[in-house]
Amino acid sequence: MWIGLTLLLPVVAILITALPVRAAVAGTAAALLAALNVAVAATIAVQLAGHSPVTLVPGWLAIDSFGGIVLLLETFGALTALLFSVGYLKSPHISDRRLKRYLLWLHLFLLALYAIPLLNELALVWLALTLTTLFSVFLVSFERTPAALEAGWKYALLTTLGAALALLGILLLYWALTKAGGSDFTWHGLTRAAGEMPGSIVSLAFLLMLVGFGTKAALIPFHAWLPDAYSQAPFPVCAMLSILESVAIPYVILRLVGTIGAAHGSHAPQWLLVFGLVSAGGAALLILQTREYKRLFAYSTIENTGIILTAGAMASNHLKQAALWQMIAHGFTKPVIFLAAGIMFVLVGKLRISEVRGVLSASWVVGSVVMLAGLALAGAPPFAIFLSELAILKSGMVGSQAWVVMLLAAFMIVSFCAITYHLFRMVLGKAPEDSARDRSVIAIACWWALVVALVPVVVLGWWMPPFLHHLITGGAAALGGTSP
Amino acid sequence: MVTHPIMSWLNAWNQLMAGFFLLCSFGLIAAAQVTGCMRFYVLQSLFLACSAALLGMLDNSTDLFMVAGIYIIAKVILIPVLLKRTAREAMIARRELVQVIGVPSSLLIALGLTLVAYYIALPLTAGANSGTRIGLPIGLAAVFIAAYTITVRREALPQMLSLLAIENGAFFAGDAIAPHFPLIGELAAVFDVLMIVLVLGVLSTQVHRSLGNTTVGSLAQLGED
Amino acid sequence: MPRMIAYNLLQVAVVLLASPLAVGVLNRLKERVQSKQGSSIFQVYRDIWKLFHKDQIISDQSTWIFRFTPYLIFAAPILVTLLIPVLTSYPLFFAFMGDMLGAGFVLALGGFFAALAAVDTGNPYGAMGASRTRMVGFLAEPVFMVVFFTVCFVANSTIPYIVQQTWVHPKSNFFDPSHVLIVIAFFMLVLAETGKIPVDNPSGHFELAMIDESKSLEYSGAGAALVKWGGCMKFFVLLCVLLNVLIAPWGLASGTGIGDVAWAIPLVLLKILAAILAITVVESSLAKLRLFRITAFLGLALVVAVAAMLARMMRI
Repeated sequence: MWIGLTLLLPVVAILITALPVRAAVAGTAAALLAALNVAVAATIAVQLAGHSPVTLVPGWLAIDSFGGIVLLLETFGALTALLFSVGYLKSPHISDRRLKRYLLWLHLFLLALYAIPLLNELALVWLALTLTTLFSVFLVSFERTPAALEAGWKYALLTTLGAALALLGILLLYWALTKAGGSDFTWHGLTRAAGEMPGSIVSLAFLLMLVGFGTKAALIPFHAWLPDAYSQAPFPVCAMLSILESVAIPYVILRLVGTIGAAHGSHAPQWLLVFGLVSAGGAALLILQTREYKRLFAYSTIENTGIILTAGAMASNHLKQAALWQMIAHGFTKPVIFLAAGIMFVLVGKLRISEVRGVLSASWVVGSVVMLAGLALAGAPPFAIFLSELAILKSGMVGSQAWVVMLLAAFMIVSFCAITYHLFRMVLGKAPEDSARDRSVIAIACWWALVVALVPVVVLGWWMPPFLHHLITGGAAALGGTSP
Repeated sequence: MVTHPIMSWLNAWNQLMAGFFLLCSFGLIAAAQVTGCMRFYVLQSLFLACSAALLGMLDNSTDLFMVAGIYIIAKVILIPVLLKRTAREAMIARRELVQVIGVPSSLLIALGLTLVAYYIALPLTAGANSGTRIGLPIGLAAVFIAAYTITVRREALPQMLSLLAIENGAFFAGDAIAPHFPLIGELAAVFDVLMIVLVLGVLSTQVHRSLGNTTVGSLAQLGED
Repeated sequence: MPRMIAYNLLQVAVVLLASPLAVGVLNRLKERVQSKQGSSIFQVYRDIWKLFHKDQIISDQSTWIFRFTPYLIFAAPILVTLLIPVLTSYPLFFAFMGDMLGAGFVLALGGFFAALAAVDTGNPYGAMGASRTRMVGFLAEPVFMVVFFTVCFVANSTIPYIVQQTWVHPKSNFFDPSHVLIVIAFFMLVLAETGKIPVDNPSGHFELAMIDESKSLEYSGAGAALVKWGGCMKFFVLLCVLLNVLIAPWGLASGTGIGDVAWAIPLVLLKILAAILAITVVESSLAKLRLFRITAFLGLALVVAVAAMLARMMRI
């Protein structure tokens, strides 16, 4: 019943948007519905933590602990993004009609996004993932400038290309499934048949899916679309894209490895490890040399996705738990940083790091919020990411694969230094005379969004709710984690 | 292996469809105008549908007959209509297309890709039936060639049509290797294809209006300077 | 044995006499499609007749090559006719002399001398036409090669009489993709080799745009007649190779009786007419390509030929 509600609420939001009401009304209603959805996702999460599975249609719509985490992160991100959008897009330059269209696409995008952890049939999971791209194209190109259109085109083309490759992978995987005598193309059915599937076919299928979904998640070297899309998309859209890339897609990839890794000679975990490490390392270097703060945060999303995939690819159960924790910590932190950056952008009106100076002296509230969010993202204590990264390092330092974790540690240090360096350059110092606008231009809804988004980041740094802990242990078990 | 005479006829026809299907991939590279690309795409979809129907007869799979019908309706009829509605301006611009790499070299590269696909598929299809032995390499080759076409084409619509051709290739292989693939999956893919046409068609029209052409390959404003 | 020789000579006679008719029909059909009255289908005979009765002028700057070439152009297709199946599906007396590769070389020899002769006179158009023909020629060469290799690969033979039987035994072989693709590739080659649209415009009169025609601009009288007739026969012979060897031996005489062979003549002419109709459709619906797009056209032909070979490889 709860699952149905999760999918029903965005549909209601779409219907409200389609009604002839003003965009502000539709936006407020959407934010309220999103808040309701967070409550629904939390209820599902609590139920899952109490070990009662949540199923609507067996074999089609059901969710387990891992999915519960993902759903919670998605709904929460959606709530903050919608709240922020209401304030951020309230501008005389943007017509009511355009705003409503924006809301419409955003709701469609969210609907597809929520469907990913809920659906069990693999072909439908693929469809939901592809639709997230297609529904977000017009969100990326929202500004309608030539640059935004270019970014939108690249984004649409490359990610759809990835989805098409993944489709071939899905078909090959089904072939392997039928060769193993199965016909139930769900996560469950795959897990049952995995031992019998021919390794060579599974290998090719997984590689195609990894490249395909990896293009969507902007894993390096398939990240060509990402800097452009992020620099052109509105800030709340960036936040949602980050959730898609660092939560929903790693969910699918890790699930795949968890189910088909058991096939003989598939080498899936090894492939994932390589891709994860390359992404984490490459992104850390990209963070160093970037010149726009939106892209800076985008690269940090890739880095975290890389860390999550690397940790999730390793056999140890502790590491898998730590990967899920990292997913949760980053998934809650990313909206905060994009929303804070959005507020900063409203204040200073510049995107390049070198053109932003002394935010703290221009407005101490904005400056300190950006500072706080940036430190949380970089992985400074006492925030959630610090703890989750520590957990990865702690549980990975034992065993024969300790070198992997050492590499990850190096990448984390590089990105920490790079993020704080860029952050201090922007926040500290003396503001140029003419640049800063009055703080009152920032809409009240934006502040609310930021406050809401900050709550879990701060709380998780000090205290882990027991239900979340249960979800993580349950989720790691679903990933095929073994005790060391 | 195949004993019944009807079967050997069906097999031969299926192979013929495979050959034509691959030729259409080459045509997509070589076509000089947007309408030409479109015709090759529609033809390719038609061959895909024929192959699905033939495989349906070979494998006794009623699903595949429905799939063939779905292809005809969606890809052969609906997509051209949709494209003409959403991207009319870019479509009827009758000028020669520019390519990053010339047509003859591209064709040779595509031939190389076909060989690569063949050698990738070779170990996987050992011991499979003749439909699979044909379908998998040809489907893979079509996927590779279409992916290559996306990178050399500079115009929006040919890029999009190559994107759709990738999907065609995937399903050409898919119909052969997994004749009992859930119908819901096929429907999902077709829905996805239609959404691609709608969204990218509208987007390319927006690009056309704001830039005066759709040479998206020469869009290079953005980038890490 | 004498009967075999007689049939062989009959083949030559058919090619000699019917080839101008084939070209005449093609021209007439094309003009009708363009809503013109068109010249009579026998016009080519009249042209040849007229040219034989005219004086021949030969530049005193030219060498023996110029004088020798018309005979070679005329003789090469006749030689090829002796080797290939035109009327019968079994080898005739002279067929032992060469296989399909041999036939290809003989035809290429004629083309080579035509190019030499065009350069020989010093006429600027001749050299231009020759260089363009060579360009088309060297692009078509690899396609010819691949087509022949594929044929050998499929039929395990280069003898045309064995090749033609492979396509119909068993009957489902006819739809073998390698067969269909070879036919398509060879059809494209015939268009390029005989100077048809989209490679060349045979009815164009503008010297700067000519490819094939400009080589024979300097000939007059009997020389011009021989070159023209040789061109017609080359077209006819290539169609015969396409129709009888590469598509199917249908309509050819399989018995050795005189009636069988006589009945084959109208059937073969009917096949040629069908091919001419196809060429008319192509020539009327396409435009001539820019010179530098010809590479794309022949590249496509090459791809088709290689695809034929791949199709064969994949089936095994």
